[in-house]
Amino acid sequence: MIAPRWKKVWADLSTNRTRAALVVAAMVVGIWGLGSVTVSYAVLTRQLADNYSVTNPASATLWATGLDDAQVQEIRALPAVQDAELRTVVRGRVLMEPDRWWPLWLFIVEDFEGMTVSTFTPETGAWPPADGEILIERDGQAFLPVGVGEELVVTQPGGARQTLRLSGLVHDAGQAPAHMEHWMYGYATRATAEGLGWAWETEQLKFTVAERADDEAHIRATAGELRGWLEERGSVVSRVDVPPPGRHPHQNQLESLLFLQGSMGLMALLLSGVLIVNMLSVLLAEQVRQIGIMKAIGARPGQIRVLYYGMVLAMTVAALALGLPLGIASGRGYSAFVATELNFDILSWAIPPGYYLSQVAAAIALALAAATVPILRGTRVTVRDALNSYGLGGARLRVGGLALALGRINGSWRPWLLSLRNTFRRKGRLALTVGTLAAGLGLMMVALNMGASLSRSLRSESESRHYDVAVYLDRPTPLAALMPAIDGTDGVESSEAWIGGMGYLVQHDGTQSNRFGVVAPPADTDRIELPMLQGSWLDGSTERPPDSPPLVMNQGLHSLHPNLQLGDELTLRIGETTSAWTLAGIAKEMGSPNQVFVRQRDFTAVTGMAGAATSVLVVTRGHDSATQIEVSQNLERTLEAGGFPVASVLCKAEGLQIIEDHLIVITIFLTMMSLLVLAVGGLGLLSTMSINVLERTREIGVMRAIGAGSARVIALVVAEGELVGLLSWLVALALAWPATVVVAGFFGDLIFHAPLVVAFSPAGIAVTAVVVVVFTAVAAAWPARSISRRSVRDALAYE
Amino acid sequence: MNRPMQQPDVARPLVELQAITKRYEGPSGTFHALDGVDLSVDAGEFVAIVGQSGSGKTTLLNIIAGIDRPSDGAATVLGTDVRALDEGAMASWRGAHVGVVFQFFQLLPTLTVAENVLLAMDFVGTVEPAARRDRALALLQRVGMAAHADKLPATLSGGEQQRVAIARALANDPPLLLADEPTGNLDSRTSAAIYELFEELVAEGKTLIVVTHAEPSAQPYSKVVHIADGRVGS
Repeated sequence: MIAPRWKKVWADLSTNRTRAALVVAAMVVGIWGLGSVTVSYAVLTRQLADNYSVTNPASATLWATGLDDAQVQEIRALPAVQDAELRTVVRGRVLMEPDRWWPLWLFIVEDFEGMTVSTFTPETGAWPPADGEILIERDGQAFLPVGVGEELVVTQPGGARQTLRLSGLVHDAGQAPAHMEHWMYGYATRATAEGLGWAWETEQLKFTVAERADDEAHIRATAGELRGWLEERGSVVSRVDVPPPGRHPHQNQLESLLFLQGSMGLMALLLSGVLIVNMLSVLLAEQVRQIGIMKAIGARPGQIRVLYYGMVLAMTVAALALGLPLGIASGRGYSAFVATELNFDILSWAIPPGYYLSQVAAAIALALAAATVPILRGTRVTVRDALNSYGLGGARLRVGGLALALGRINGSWRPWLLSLRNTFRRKGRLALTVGTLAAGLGLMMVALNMGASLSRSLRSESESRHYDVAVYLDRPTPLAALMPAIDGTDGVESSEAWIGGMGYLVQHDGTQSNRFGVVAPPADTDRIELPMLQGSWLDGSTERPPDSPPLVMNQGLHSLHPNLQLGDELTLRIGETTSAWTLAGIAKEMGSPNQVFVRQRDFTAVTGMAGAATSVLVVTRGHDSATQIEVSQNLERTLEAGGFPVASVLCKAEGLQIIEDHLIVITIFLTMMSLLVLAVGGLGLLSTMSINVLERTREIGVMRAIGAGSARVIALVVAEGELVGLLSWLVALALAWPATVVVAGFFGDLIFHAPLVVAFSPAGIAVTAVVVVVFTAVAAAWPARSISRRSVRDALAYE
Repeated sequence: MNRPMQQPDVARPLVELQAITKRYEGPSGTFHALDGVDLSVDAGEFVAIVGQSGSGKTTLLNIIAGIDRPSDGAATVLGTDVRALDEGAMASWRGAHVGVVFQFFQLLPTLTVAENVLLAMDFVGTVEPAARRDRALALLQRVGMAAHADKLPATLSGGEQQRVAIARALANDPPLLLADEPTGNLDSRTSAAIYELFEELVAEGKTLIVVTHAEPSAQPYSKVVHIADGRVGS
């Protein structure tokens, strides 16, 4: 037999099932949000790392001439090397639609069956590909103009159109997703590349270290030793790439996402905690008299606390039963979406039991903690006070001067004063209600503001570039032939040639950094106007030695070398030359690769590449996206006909699209979080308004007893609700701005190494206003209608 | 039945109040609900405390029950100084030694009649668990409510609810019963039945203190204490 005290718990829950259901619903939303976050965190962090590690990613890649199989065999035998493999990549292009090309990274694989480093796996079609065939990485499949078995048109920059049979698809988890980068990865035999007649200057040696695979310094040292080893044998090593050990190319993106996810999930959880406190306070306030009775017949406060903690525990268990499966389902769904976006497979959905246990423990701890204040308050009341309690109606009321002044107004406005006074009569309760609603609404505004800030940042990035189409060349191309061809292309208004190359920072100890872009615009260029985070642009007045020209670094590159300060002299290796530069400024670029800017005349003086261009920035006659695409196609035709070595022709809209594609998981997540917060906020509004109305049951009975019709009662209650909603919305509006500044700063630093441009979403303001008006009306009208249907006698007897 | 608390000293009065004062601070100043009240009740007495609304009679009863605490004065009930106990100890002491019957019955609405009685035993723990249900039914039988044991209080009349409240007050077999306007909400016939029950309990040795605003007529109190403006008269 169940002890009467526990039967009372059950009976109380049954009797107050609407309110208990609201408490459970608040808990469910919190557990759901927490579950989604923990499940997706557990799945994504492990699966991205697992997908990447099963490819046995190269510790480093050496670009060198004269590499052959025999040398690779010798390198494999070196004690510092675990595995080594030749995997040369050749830059080509693939035709996606008439006169629209994407870059093609064609990997020459020596032995498809015997790959040991940076491996990939067959998905569909032939494996290995025959000579004259190509495999394509699966993530680009949706953009391919042909299917497996059909002919793909390819070219090497400046070369003629050729065809390769698309023999199948592969999954290469080690590459950044093709659909985000807007390029293709192809895989073919050496004979295929040679058959095409494609040229390449260097082979690439990929290797893994035998030990300390996570130690970047050790990898760099080993790569340096290998470089020396190769150079002793006559190879020229032109480049050494050491990616961050064990980190997928988009690990940073995922971690940014998980940071955002974690912080938003935590806020949703805390908000649901506030809701629980609010609702339990009311639930217990209604139990005060019963607490008094139990004390009067001998119950100790501890015994009563156990009862109510038991009640909270029962509700928590119910919430866990609902919230955990929902969290698992949505966490899995979201993980699957992210995995698709980042092009990796979920190899296992298994989640360590610790994650579930931590969720259960967090939910129980939060619920019990949230319940502690109301339980202690409820059980500390003396028997006398408890027995004299009229439930929730015992607050000390005051009428302020404003209310009194308003009360002197005559006419039909007088009943509305009741709404006004009711709103402010319990300031503590009002503060809690407004606080809860404002937190929900504010969180939603912040989520929408983050989306707007991302969008504004990208737009600002786009606006800092005053051109419509960029033509990137595979190698320095003489201006004399190039510029007339471009300027004569239909739709071109004006053009400006830039030059550049790849560079390395030479450290004091002689080692080199990873490579980065060196961009050399004319000194008086108006095609780019980057915001400066520190220092000045190239035409600035930075003091420097006369033989050390100015250099501006973007913040992405600076984040890798945070010790560099303005005025520092840097040693750059560009091609085979080494030169000194002075760091004049740090510019803000969103979504650009790591690069530095130098004046064109300084660059040509150092490299001797005068009279050539590596990119041309074109202003078109119209600036809309359709015109940009049309002119880019015209340029493709012109440049192909002229045999110019085009690497890619990118219109501005497409460039923006590439960055937006990289951020899509984040924007989708922000939308999801907005909806979750909307659910929490809506629930909070519904519960607090319902409770506010329920506790005025007796007052409503009085109003009806003295002649107020149901419609008038509902209207008064809704007016009160709208007033509370308006107050909450104003508070949320005031808090959302500083919160957005803080979150945008954190988030921008994490993903772009620079704060986002903060924007307030007009949609966020409008949506939250509509949410408040509609939800408040529903939340107030629903219980008011139900109460107004009660008999006056019942309403007056309500405690 | 286990009774952990001390047994009363038979030589002393069961209830002994000396110079009890109870003050409340309010917006209009200090209000004296009780002002120097002395009261002595011996074991087996049936005492009526009579006074008008606001006279302080319920406050006096609450102080005896340990529901309220005096501002000044000494209150010894069944040999225990009720001011010395904290809230938890007070509840345990009350559950074991004092049965309280309220004007508005104060049954827990979500528990059945029998469960309301059982709950009091559960909290105090003086009755063996296996014996509680039988004792509850016996007490309900005693007050004529056994047939309603599994009903909810809301289905009962006022008189029936008050009988259940008396059964609950007897749950832990306390020597002292306190009743605050026990028939204030009942008709005269039901009131008479309740008083018959009280008389039986006194005849069995219980000490009973009843607060009432009605001047006693035929009820057989052994002592009547009048209270007005917080002071006890003759």
